[in-house]
Amino acid sequence: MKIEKERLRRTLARRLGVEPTELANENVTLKEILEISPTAINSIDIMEAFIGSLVDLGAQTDLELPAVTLDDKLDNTLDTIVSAVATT
Amino acid sequence: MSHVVTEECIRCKYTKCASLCPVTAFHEADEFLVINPNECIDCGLCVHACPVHAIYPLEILPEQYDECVERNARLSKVLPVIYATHEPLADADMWKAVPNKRQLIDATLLAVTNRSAS
Amino acid sequence: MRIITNLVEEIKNNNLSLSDIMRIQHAYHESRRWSVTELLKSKQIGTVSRRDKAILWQAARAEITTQPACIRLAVDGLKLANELEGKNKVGNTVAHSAAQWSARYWLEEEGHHEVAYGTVMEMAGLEPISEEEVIGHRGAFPTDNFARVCMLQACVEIEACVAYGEVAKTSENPLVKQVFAKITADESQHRAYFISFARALVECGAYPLKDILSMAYTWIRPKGGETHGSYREKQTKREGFVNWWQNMKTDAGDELRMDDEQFRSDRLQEKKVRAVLSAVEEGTGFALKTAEDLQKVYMQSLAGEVQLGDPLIAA
Repeated sequence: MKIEKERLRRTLARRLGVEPTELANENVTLKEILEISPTAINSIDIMEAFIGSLVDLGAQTDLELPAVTLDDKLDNTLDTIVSAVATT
Repeated sequence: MSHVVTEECIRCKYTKCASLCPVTAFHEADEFLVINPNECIDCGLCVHACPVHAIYPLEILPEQYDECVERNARLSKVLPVIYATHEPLADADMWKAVPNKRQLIDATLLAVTNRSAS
Repeated sequence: MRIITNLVEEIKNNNLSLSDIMRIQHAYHESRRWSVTELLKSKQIGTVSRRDKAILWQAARAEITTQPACIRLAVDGLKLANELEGKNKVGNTVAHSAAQWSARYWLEEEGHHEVAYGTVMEMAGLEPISEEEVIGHRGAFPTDNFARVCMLQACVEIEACVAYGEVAKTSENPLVKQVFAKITADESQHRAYFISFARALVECGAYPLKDILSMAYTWIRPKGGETHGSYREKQTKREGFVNWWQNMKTDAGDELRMDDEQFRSDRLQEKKVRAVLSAVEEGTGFALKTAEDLQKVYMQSLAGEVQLGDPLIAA
């Protein structure tokens, strides 16, 4: 299955209650995203936003989701997830 | 040490114990449960949970239930783990106070487990 | 003497009041009470193995962190109860039940653990924990939604049950065995309480099903689950001690290192995963056999495809 990175970014932004432009900086970390999201308060919310976005985009439930940390950059995380989805 | 499910469980199988076990030490046959002595951590939560008082810590197991110890150890090797509480068996209340229930254990099950163990 | 595992049903169908619930909690607490002072009085510890010293060092520190955890749960429980007042009567009672249990009984029981492990650790010849370190371990816990916190705590207690239970079974020192057995028994019932609160909060509609599933998934997900602690490929640096095993000593040359077989062998990890799945079943009714099953149901819950009470099960 193919998921387009920018579509994932936009879906994620919606789930996090932020504008897609706020997630556009390639150096923004997941920790920094927590600080700007009005709804996400911790790493569980971030994880849920990612997984929820994948659900919204029709990803399969047996997808092997990569491990991420709050220190990771969003851009790299999106790339990793897009690659993971592509293997399903 | 371990805890032991005695014959009092047979044909009742209330399973209230199973959901309280923090280490999923309970295994189930069709009509009763057993405890895996290798997994049991002797927390004792199951003892008070059982409506028919079928469970004892090994060190205070009444003598009449001695043969249950080996049965728990043997059957837990071949029976599936039970993770949570289910509905009791249909006639559980009727079987609550019936004595000598060990003879009700399915001979077929014992034969299977005897073969597996040997 | 019992733990009320089906709080919502009992509140609704048996009209249990908050006072009724507290009396049941109190009776259970009293029936299980034990004295650290009596247990350790006049006891000689004898030889303590390196392995036992290592886990005593770890456990004594871990239990200090339970004080802020208990206080947080009690305070947040009251806040939740206030939010639900007038909107969700059953939820209000559930939140108060969790807060009162945490404030009165969980806190008291964990105090026993801190003192017991700290004392036995010193009896085993290890240095007392410095006041600075004690204070450091009492730092405030981060807050989260209450259902997730209850499920988190259930998972934490599972970690404790498995690790402490292993010591109770395998230690060759009688006093160490005895202390770990007592505390394991306490942690087991704490786990049961947390699951009961998480379940009740979802059953009464105060929180969605996904909140139980998300925390369980966070704990045992195959890549990066919290249960893998410092062995994860990646982990966020955290302040505080929410996951105390992140700071475990594991260096080969360290006398106080925890060996894999004490805490993180394949057998123990499998036990923890099964136990978390069992907790999920108790909390949601979903009988799941693997972490992959859990991911599937979690994703379905995010899609709104499963609800509590659905006859679904497993992959």
